[in-house]
Amino acid sequence: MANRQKTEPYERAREVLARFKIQSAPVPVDKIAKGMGAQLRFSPLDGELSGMIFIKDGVPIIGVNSLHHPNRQRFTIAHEVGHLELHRDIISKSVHVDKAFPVLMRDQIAAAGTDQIEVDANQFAAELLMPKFLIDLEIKDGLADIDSDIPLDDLARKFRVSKQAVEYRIRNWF
Amino acid sequence: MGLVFYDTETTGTDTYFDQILQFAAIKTDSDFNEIDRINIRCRILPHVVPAPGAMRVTGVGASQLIDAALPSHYAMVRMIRAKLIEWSPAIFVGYNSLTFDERLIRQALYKTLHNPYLTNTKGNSRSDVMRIAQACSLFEPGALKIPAGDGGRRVFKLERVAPANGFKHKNAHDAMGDVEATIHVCRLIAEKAPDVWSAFMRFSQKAAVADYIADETVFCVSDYFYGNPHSCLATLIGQNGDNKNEWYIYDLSIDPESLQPLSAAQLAVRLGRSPKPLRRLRSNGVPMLFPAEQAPDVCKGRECGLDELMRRAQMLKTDEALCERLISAFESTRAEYPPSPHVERQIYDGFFASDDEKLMEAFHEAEWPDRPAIVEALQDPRLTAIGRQLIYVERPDVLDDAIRQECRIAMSRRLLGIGEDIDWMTLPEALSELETMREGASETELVQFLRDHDLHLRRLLREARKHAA
Repeated sequence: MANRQKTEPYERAREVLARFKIQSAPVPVDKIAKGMGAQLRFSPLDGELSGMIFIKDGVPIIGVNSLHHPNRQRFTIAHEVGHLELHRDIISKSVHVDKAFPVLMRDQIAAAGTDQIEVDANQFAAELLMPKFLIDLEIKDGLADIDSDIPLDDLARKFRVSKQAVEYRIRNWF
Repeated sequence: MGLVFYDTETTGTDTYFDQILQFAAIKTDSDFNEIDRINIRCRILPHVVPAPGAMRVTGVGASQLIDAALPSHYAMVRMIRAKLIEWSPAIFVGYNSLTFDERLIRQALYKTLHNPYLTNTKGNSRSDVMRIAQACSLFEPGALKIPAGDGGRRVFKLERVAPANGFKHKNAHDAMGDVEATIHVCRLIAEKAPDVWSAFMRFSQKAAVADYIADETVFCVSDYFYGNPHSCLATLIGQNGDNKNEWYIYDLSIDPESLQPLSAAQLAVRLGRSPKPLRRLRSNGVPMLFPAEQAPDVCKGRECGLDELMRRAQMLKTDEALCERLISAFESTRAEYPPSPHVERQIYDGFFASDDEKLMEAFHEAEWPDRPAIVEALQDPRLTAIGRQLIYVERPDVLDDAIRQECRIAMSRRLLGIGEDIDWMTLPEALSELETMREGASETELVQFLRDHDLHLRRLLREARKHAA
């Protein structure tokens, strides 16, 4: 049971990938978010805040820090899509309709992975952007080698994510 | 983090040779709540001639230009720079700033021995509200009221757009007044056209632009020329090898199959003819990029249908040889410009070496008597020229006699317009312009205002003639 819960975010991400017929990298995370009915809003957010998600008039709004690098923004969007897919009930209960104000923020707490729903969203995002079946193909092609820096850079470039995100994905290999 | 709205008032409209006389900026959070502001003026540089037309518009009198109570240009730039660094990282936003204020700020930094790229490095990025307003009129018509000018063309000038949308301009052409007007327009756009606002916040970063055009097989790119919108559906076909911020995009309203049989020479001719198949897109130029599905009615290529455009784009993606030939033909027609003899126009002739950057920092930390030696140690001749001129303006007494004399002559010749490639406002030109303005002036106040400027310029003329030999 515990193991099933642990792998659920990965499985749910795979379902989303299948629903959107994703076959190659980089994964079009913008289109997935929009396909799930979400609107993306880029704005210069404070400090380390990467993004947020809330529901306004029934429409999920994903806020993204426009000052961050696009690869980091892609991870943010994937993370918020994870909340949408996995925690819609939590997001829906905390509706703010007056202002674009965060309900779930992706900040340092999420990055540290200490909060369970943030851990889930991170795992979902990792699989969404770096699906196992696509990473497997790269490993077969000899592109990925955890012991060497250069192939990880190549993988990061191919999947349009940060090198840290690739490392996270490989460390949490399901 | 947040937004920095800024505006400048200047001695004229030449972004290389004119100078900033007033700088105003407000820092806000992403919801436009004010956090901090700066509003500063300075004296005119002794080698800059104020354009009479600009002085009349901004209402800056001759006595204000030389008011000893105001800081020097160098002191003002130091204060502006310190404030902007304190506010960084942020998105720097102005109105028509990309082709005007932004360039003036870069020049101001460059001419005071600083790295000019403050607003687009170290996590900073920039945007231009005039372009956002233009994008609104295309992609979210009705969000903003855009006034019509002669011939029904839309007018995007701030002094027309802001009042048309409810802003009560207390002082148009005052830098702070214009900053407040710009924020007012942005609030409206963010509220009524959130998709447009979001797109511009996203594409304030050049990496986001590069990412987007690489990801989207077909996208809509728009621009305005002389008040008229131009949009096309395009695909990316390559990058300029000499300039990583420049990308080549193909207008898909033209079937690429029609270009396949052409020779290199024929391609070069075809690329120069309208409708032009190939365009440059600068990822650091705040482009108007939107998904193909949102293309406005005026967009070229819409009539072909998205499926056909996708087919053309895919054909180009697979025909690398054609893309290479197109780019090669395009680059062969590019005009080469000879290097300018003037240091102002050399600003983009390469980045400064890191050793010079360190010396520039040391310059600002040092006491004035120690600064000439630092300037002479700079390797980049542009910086040496700027440094000498800067010291001559601020503290001529610390320069040695020969350099001081050289600077005095150079400045006098510049004021008089003696030398090659003169394309700045000179004293004879300004006096002639003033004369014309005085002939048409009837109000007592204006006559006095112009007379004061005339006296100021004639004083400069007498001095310059003494030293220009």
